[in-house]
Amino acid sequence: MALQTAQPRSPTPPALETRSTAWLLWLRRVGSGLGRPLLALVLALIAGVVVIMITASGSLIDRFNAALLAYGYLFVGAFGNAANLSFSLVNVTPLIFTGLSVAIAYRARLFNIGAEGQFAAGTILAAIIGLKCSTWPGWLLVPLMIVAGALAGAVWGGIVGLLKAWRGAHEVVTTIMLNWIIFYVSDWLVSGPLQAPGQADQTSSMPPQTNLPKLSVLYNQTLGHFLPTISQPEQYIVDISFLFALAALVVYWFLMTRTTFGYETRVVGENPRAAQYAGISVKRNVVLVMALAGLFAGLGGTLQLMGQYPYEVIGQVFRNDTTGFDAIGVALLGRMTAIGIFLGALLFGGMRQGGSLMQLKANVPGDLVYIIEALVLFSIAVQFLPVIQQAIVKRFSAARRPTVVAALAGGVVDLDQEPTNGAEAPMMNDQPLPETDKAALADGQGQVQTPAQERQHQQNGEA
Amino acid sequence: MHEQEKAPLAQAASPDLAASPYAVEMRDICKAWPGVVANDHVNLRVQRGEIHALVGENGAGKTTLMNILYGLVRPDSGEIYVNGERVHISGPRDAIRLHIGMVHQHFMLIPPLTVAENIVLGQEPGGPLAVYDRRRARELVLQLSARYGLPIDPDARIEKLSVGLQQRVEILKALYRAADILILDEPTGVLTPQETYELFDVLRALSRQGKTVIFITHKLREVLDLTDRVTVLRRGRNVGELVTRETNQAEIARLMVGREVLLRVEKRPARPGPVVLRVENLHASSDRGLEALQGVSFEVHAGEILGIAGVEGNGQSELVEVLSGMRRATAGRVTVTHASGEQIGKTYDITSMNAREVRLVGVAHIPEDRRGTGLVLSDTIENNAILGRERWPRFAWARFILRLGEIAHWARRLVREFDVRTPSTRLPVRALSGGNQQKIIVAREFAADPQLLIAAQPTRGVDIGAIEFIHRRLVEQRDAGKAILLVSAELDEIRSLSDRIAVMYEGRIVDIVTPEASEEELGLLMTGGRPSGASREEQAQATGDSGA
Amino acid sequence: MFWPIFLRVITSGDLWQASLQFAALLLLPALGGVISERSGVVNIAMEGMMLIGCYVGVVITLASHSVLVGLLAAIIAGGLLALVHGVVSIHLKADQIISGIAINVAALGLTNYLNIIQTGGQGIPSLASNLRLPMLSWGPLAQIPFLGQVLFQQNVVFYVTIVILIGLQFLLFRTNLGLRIRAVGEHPQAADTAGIAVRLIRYACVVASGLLSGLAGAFLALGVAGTFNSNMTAGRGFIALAAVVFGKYTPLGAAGACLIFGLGLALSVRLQDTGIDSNLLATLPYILTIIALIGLVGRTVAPAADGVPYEPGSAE
Repeated sequence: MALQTAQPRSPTPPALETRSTAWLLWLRRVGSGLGRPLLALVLALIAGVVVIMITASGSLIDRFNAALLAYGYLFVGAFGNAANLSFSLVNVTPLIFTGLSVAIAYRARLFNIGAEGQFAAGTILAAIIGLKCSTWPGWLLVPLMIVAGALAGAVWGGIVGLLKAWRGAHEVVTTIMLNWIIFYVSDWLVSGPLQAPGQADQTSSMPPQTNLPKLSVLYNQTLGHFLPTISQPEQYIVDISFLFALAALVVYWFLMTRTTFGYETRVVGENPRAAQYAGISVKRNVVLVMALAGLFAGLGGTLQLMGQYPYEVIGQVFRNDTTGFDAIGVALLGRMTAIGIFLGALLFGGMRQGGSLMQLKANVPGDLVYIIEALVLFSIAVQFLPVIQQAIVKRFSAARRPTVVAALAGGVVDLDQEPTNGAEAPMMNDQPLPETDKAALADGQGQVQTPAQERQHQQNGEA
Repeated sequence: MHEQEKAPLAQAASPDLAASPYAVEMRDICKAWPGVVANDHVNLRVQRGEIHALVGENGAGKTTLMNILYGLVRPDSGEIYVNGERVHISGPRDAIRLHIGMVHQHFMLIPPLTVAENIVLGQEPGGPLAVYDRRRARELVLQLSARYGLPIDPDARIEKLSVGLQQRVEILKALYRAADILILDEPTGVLTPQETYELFDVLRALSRQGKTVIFITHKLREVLDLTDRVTVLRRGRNVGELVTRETNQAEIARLMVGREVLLRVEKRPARPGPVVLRVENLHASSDRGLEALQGVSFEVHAGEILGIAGVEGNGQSELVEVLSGMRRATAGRVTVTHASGEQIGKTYDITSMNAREVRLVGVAHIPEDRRGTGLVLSDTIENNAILGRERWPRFAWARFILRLGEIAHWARRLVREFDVRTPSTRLPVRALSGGNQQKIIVAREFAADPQLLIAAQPTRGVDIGAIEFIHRRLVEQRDAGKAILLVSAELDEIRSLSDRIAVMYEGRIVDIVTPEASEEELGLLMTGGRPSGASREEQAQATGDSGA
Repeated sequence: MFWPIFLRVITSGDLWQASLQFAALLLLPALGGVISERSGVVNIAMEGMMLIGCYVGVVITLASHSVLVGLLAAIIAGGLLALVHGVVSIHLKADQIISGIAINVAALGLTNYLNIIQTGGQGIPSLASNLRLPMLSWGPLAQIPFLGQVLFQQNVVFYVTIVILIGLQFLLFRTNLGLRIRAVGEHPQAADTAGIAVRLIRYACVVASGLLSGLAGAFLALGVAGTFNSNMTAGRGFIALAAVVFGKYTPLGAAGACLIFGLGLALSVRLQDTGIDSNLLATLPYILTIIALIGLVGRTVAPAADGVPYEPGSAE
């Protein structure tokens, strides 16, 4: 920390970032970034055990064992072996995209309940293009479909932003409306204009030149020439869209933390009035943010269509798909950070996958996953941890550095009352009137020093 | 009906209360918020029938103490006695039952409801399950207003009333609940001098009728004018209990701040340069669609401070917003001319620019509502240090990619040069005191080396130390040749800093006077009178109008 | 081809009977939404509360062999779920939208989970006609041409809904309690300082919204469908939410909105012969709501403190 002293007689910089402060700040970040979601998850899993135990049969021990067994299969089904993991990653990919969609909107304090609709819009436009231009070569059609799907999502999300910016229509209402509109439009398309010949309520498969390669196959074809190859690569079904999802996470991280767009979005979200003061157009930002949110979701839909069997759109698929709602849990659990969204998507996607094995082997319905998900949402919404955290921090460190610690715990603090450097400073205001002040009082004319000046003098004197 | 039902109750109870002369006694009240001790063993004794002032600086703990008395805040420890009896107040309902009423600083009125609905709310005739009896409610309000001489239209919607009338509704609301002890939290801050005098008359009348009044303020003249006794708080502690007759302004001030208040700022005479800001016939609408600015014209020169005085709500906020690009003008013209010494540079028409463009032209703006407008409280000091300038090449490549190192460096420089007390620039601004928050804004706006500085209520709600600091910096900037437009509701601040004073009234500049103008003269101008530069007849007429 | 069929459909009593039924089904949760939002608690969980009402209603009806017991159980189940929303958003001051989503997800998961555990994935059989909520018989009134079919051949819950609608409109805008509810939703601090029990009123209103949604669930499962299917509410709770906003947070307004949506739904089924796709027609209510949002109710103002948890100690 190179401090250049502008004024030669300036005192020790008050903004001295001491080691312990930095540590506390870091602790706070990690604590709230990891602690809250973890606690939420643990609470939800415990509640899930209770649910299983209530509905299972036998003695209390039997019931508990049943619950543990179910969780065991849930985990094995999700991450137990490479094949299961690759199935899970197939679920994770769209969750990352839609989770990002929710998170981007939330940075501007917009609740994007419409990720599913934007996801659907992307899928549908990509499908239309894929089917109508099925004879085009892959090098042209693949990028075209991806771009078109992303744009369709962006438009579907951008509408929400426009309605909000122009007419003040609440995004929660408009996203829900737009979801159902696109669900029905999709059903109309697959049962009408796009219906596959001889099939009910589904489209034909996308042309084979647009199918995205599996990661394992791609590996064998490239790195596999130098490194050990994967045998039976076909059983690892995750395709390269997972890499796109990882790239999307990086893009999101960069946008939000390293660019003026991310900065301005945050200002718009946290304090629209400050945005107006700063000259940031709230309306423009809202439209942009929603379009970007839709773009990510649309991309997710498109890549799933192109990456996974059966490479087609099926009737009623979107209205029964919970990806868009799961994404809200993913984003909240991930506290809107890129790494958090990745972990959240991994968890939710894994549970979705593991749920079927759990139902099969442990006879516990896979819908338990929804219950756990709901409980995670509850515990995040309630934020038990800050309360506990504050209590702990207060108890253990209040005596030493009350103001800073409380500030780190999220409290509202008057740091003026307790400057952290200069031990004598806090006593200042309780000292008897300094001589200069008495003099000033006497004639009512003299210039009185501020506490800051007094401190300067003291420190200069000591130095 | 409640009023008449409950009043005898209180009277019947009074004889055996003679044992204690105190209507309210609070002993050893402690209340700590996370990180801040608001009340530290505070004692308060209020005699029956007196008007008792509770004074202290902002943040001294006055409001917290009264919120405890009204049951809005639970104390950590301490005892409360009302008419000599130990009481536990766990909510406003308990307070109302004890005949305590409170007029809050931010009015507790529901804008879309009518006056009568607001007054009877919670104690409607007929009880909660009955049909709302509009006629009865009306009648009760009219009776009440006749009895205490506080005329009001019971059917008016709150949102249509002036601030003074809203305050009257608040007082009536307390009286409707048969309050014998009336707490008023900073009631004069939003009133014109005339409305203030009227309020004082009302309070004196209430006191004569046996009501006890607790009057929170930090304006010492009001304390001397109105009250019988004074309790002074400083930083959450008692520092004095005085009889008003036996004390003076200086003593109270010394107790309040621990030393003499410095209101006179040391400064040399201004050496005004060329005109920097020129405002011509400016019109603009308020949020409610009313015409808030009705043809404002004035000029600010380089090297001078032009103060805008006026009772709040006469268009000052809208003026500042238009000049800083936050609000569109409906007519008129605003130009900013760059000047360096006597050299005149380019002139920019900023009338229809947005805040970002205005800032690029060289206008800095300290907004009146620092927490609501000037800062993003949840964000770090670093990020707040570039608010509004985040796309400047200094802080962003290609206006898009943030230069984080440069921003951190910049923030540390501001914190150092403006003596912001914080352990780290990565701390959320929320964690700082009001004074330090304001210093961050001042630092940000000064450090950009502006041509014109608009400072709206720059010292509102900050401690004395920060006030002096900010005042000195303003004068420094003036002496460095900047044009400064100062808008403040504190007349003392305007008079001690300004080189010229423009007085605003109902969306117009009624006059521009020198700081030597007397307070009476300014007061008259602020209420629409026109004592100087006008003939005696006009003057008389103007005053007559304002009184009507 | 289009117009003759359209005219025939639009003038049939059948269409309007169905419209009113759909409307009533939407109106119950919408009324719940109105009262909850008026008190300052955002409720987007009517869908989940309805779904729970469906499931509990059917299961308890089957278990008790009494549709009345089933109906009561459905109402109480909705109320209990709403109580959860109340505790989370009023007492624990959580984000009300997240809580609402959580309740919807929980209701979906819980009903499916229990349904699978209970029936082993077989599904619940259709209810016998004596275990369904009956149509009310109005005797000769039902014989009036057109009007008889539209107004006097409806399920018993339909008439209950009308009574609740009128009662709620009166309660909110003509009684002291209504004044207090509106005060709490607009400015809870002012209400608190006036001696009103803010939290109590909010709890009551949220629970009321659950009771109404539970009733709607019973109407759907025990009256209309006669069985329980996974996710059988199919987004009705969300259309009800739209109706709340569309209806400017008033019971009568919401009723108007529900009538329009009900008509749209009824039309979408009946206009298939014209060659118009039923899926496309089904988008009508949603498109209408959006058009209304930007045109008619673009300036609809929600209660000022809607969605803001009240913190008594936060008074400055």
